[in-house]
Amino acid sequence: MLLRPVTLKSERQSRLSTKHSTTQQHNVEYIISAEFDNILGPIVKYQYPKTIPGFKFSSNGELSPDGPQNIASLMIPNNVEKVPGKSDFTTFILYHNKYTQNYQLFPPPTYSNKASEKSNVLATVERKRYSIVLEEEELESDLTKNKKDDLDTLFFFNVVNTKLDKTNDRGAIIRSLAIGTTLKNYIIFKPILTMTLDYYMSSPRGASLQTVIDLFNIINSVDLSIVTKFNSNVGMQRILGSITNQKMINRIFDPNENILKTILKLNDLKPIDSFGNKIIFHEQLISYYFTRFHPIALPTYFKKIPLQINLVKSDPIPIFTNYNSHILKFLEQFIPLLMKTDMTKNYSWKLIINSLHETKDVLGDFVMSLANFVRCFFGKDNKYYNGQYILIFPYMDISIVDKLRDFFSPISEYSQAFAIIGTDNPIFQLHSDIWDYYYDLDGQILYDSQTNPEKFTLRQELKNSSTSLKKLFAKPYNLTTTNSNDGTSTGTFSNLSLHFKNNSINSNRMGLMQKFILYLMEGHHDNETTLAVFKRVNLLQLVFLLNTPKLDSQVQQHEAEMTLQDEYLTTYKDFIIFPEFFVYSTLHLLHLITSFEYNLNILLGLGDGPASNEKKYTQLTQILDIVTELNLFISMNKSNLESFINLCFNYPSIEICQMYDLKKQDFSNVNMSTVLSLQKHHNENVKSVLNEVEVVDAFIKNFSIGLFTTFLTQVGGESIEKKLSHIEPSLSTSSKGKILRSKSLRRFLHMSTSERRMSSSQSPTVNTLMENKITASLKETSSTVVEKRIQKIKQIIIKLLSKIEKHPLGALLIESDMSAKTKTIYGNLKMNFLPSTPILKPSSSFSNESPTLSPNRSELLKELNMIEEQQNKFNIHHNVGNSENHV
Amino acid sequence: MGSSISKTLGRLFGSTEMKILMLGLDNAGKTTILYKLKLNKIKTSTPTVGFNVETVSYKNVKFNMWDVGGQERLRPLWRHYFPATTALIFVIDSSDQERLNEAKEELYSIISEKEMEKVVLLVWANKQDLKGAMKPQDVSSFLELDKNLKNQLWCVIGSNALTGQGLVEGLSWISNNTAKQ
Ligand SMILES: Nc1nc2c(ncn2[C@@H]2O[C@H](COP(=O)(O)OP(=O)(O)O)[C@@H](O)[C@H]2O)c(=O)[nH]1
Ligand SMILES: [Mg+2]
Repeated sequence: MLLRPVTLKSERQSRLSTKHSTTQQHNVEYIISAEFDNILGPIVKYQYPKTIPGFKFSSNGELSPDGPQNIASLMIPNNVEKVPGKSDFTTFILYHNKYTQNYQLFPPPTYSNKASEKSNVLATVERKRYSIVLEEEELESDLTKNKKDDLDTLFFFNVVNTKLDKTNDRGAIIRSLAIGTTLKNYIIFKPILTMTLDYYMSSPRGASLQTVIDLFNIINSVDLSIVTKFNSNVGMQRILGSITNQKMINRIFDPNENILKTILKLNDLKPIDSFGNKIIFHEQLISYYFTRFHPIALPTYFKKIPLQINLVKSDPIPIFTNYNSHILKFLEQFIPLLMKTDMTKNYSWKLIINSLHETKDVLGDFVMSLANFVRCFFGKDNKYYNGQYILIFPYMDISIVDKLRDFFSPISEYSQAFAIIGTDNPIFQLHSDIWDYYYDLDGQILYDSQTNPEKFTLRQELKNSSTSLKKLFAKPYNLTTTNSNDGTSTGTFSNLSLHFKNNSINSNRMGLMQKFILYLMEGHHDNETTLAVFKRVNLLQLVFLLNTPKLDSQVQQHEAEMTLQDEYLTTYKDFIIFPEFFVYSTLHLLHLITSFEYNLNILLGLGDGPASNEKKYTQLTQILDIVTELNLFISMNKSNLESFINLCFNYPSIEICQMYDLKKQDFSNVNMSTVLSLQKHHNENVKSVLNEVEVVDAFIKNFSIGLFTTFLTQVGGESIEKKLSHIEPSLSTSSKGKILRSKSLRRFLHMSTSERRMSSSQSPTVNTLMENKITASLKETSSTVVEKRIQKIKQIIIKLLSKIEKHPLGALLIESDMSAKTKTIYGNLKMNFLPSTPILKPSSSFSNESPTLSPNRSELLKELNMIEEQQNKFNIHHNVGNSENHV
Repeated sequence: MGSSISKTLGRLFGSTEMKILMLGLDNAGKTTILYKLKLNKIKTSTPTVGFNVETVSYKNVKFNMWDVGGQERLRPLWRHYFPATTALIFVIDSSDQERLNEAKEELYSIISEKEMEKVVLLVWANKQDLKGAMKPQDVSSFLELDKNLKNQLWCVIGSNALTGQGLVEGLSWISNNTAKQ
């Protein structure tokens, strides 16, 4: 039974060469084993299938700077000897250096003069606000890059354990196994890695090279191409990552629905992979059984334990940690420190997260969570601010500190890099030259090198500030305006707009992100909710940023060179950022949808009667422009459509932007419960008094689809509104009285709709001219003209919605966000405007639950007649452009 | 459970802190000493991977004691632990005469570092209970500290980590000789 490794290897290769296509990568590229040698210390024992270039043992036994002992120290982490029998995990990343052809622990120099190149390019770019954004391809270039480059970055996931052993002269054996893979969801190998290490340590025969070889072969014996295909569908993953409703997720992965097949473009979900291994789909998990693998060293029960993979990848690097356990607590301290920094100088920071008592697993997850909050490993380069790299090092031992210094040395291109580094050794605190912030995870104390140089103490007597949270919620917030009148009069908003009077930026202020972190902590929300909140704050602040002039200091310091993402970070300084929102397509869509919300609110605020027809017409013209552009844009390609669906899943009402100056407002004494309950006119589910948990839930409610259906149900054909007002209280009169007070917002929104037509869009004179022209041409703006325009808009909205609906995930969005009655109206209007649409085939699988589409044609006719009747009563001519559209 | 030495000897007033670095070859008894001082227990059944750090209170001093693994490939890392060190404790296995010279070489390579020229040096000639253990005086003369250390305070004390003998004396010597700092 004992075959020589050589034989095995060739056997594997021959099998792979027939089964794998030549471009296919291994699931795992390397296996390394390490152990603690009683005389030497940590050493690497085996590397398979070959020595990692750059990590050879030197023949004379000398320690080269990049020798294997470096990775051994990361594989046998400090203090593992203290928890015998308990597996722990570390992660490290190796980067390929094209010039030396070796791997190394730090990103290699790029040897290009990128920085100067970049500023030249940017200087010539026109000074339009969001022209300086990443193009989509730039952000996701890791998908298009060629196969060779895919081995650029290898993630090593390591399991280590200690076993007390009387026969050992120091009383214990300490060993570890690591897999090196290009897969960012390397966490899927955690169970099999742990099991293999157990075997490797417990059985006398286990600690052999053959075990290592078997591990390599078993992992590579399954074909993960479905997972890869699914994961690399970025548009889809983004949307999936934005869905907070688990029921919806379950539905997407329900084998009885066709959604998964549609997404994967498969006719059939086969129960075996291309190598003949059994696979099972269960909710969003896919399980691979190692059916075809024949182990030599490993026990056969290994074949029975499946490799389980989550098809939803809401983070670039999936992790198991709950953000609420440690990470929010850290952010609560970190963000206020960042707020105090001066970002106009060569700005960067280096952060060390140290924990002596937590497992390395928790520590590594902590670092990766932070990396995820700034979307590291999302695109090709880990760039954060000002084009600077952000180094992520989940576990670093003190043996690497000199290499870290070299990496940051003034002559290195990474001298201004950002860094997030996990350590388990408080001695790093004394090396204060390498960090700007040092977080003691055990004591939850954050040190700032500026204010605390050389301060060294192991005492954790400093109380953390969590008690302040209690005080915050205890304090009754007297927002004088909201109780007196339930938000229906204009007075409400004019009072709230007083907040804009605060003009100086207070570096001690609590920003919106910080505010919601407090709510998230208090409510113990899950990761999906946390991410949903962060994304919405990101979007709101982005909207606000785009709608206000640049701060003077920024303009002076950076001229036109500043990208929007940098401008955002400079303005809000709250660490978290989702670059997917900073690409052109999403920004354009964001403009359109916020403009729609804004103009719709104005429209709804206009009174009835012929006097207001002119104003209505102007407003409707704006809206028509918006929806036309929206419809065109999402029809251009699938990527735009998916960007839009994703945006819809994340779109918060822009109301907060209208009430507060997000750049300056100190939210510490603002009660978000009061603020958000004002949104109840948008969403029937929002209560008027919210507790801390409900605040978050109210905040992450979807508003986007409701905006469009509001137009369908409330604008024009008064009868529809009257008839249905009891059905959709969320969309009823309360929004009518709203008047927007933020001048800057108004300017921005006006600009965005008219700018496509006019080059110097921001000039107020031009806007006036345009409005005058419209007015002139419509001296006798009649109800008929207005109604015509309304119908035109409705028609486009219907087109828009039905396009969303054609996308399998868009259909879910519509289904979940529309009430039953709205669906009926939508269905009817769809029949009306898009008669060619197959009535019962909107997206087959949804019709069973959805009352949207009445199968009965005569019923539909009746419905429509009724509507028409009502309209006639109000003497509004229902003139729908061309009459063929009528049923 | 016996109360720890740190408690017995108690803190009297507001305490000062000092960082103590404890080095020595692997198997010298560093970790055993640390936990004897901290917990008054014998806790070592494994070699030290990396380091241990504990706070031991003695009189009105809080000693932040660092015990760093002494395996061959860990020794080049010792220098990273030098910053802010007040006292160096070097632990020697007095019964391992074969490696005494190796220990001496390591000791000299530490104290010749610029960063360490101001620290006070305590040598614990450990494992005095073992047969064939060298006496503290012999260890001292073997190390030739009187000849080579002109500007530094030093002291060699015999110890037995298992019983705790010599440990308090060592800490006491350190706190008496670093009072001004
Ligand atoms: N007999 C005896 N054994 C000791 C003494 N101090 C430590 N040991 C033993 O020496 C071995 C190594 O001790 P340890 O503290 O792990 O050494 P380290 O490598 O310097 O940390 C352990 O088996 C201890 O029990 C001592 O004073 N006398
Ligand atoms: Mg030890």
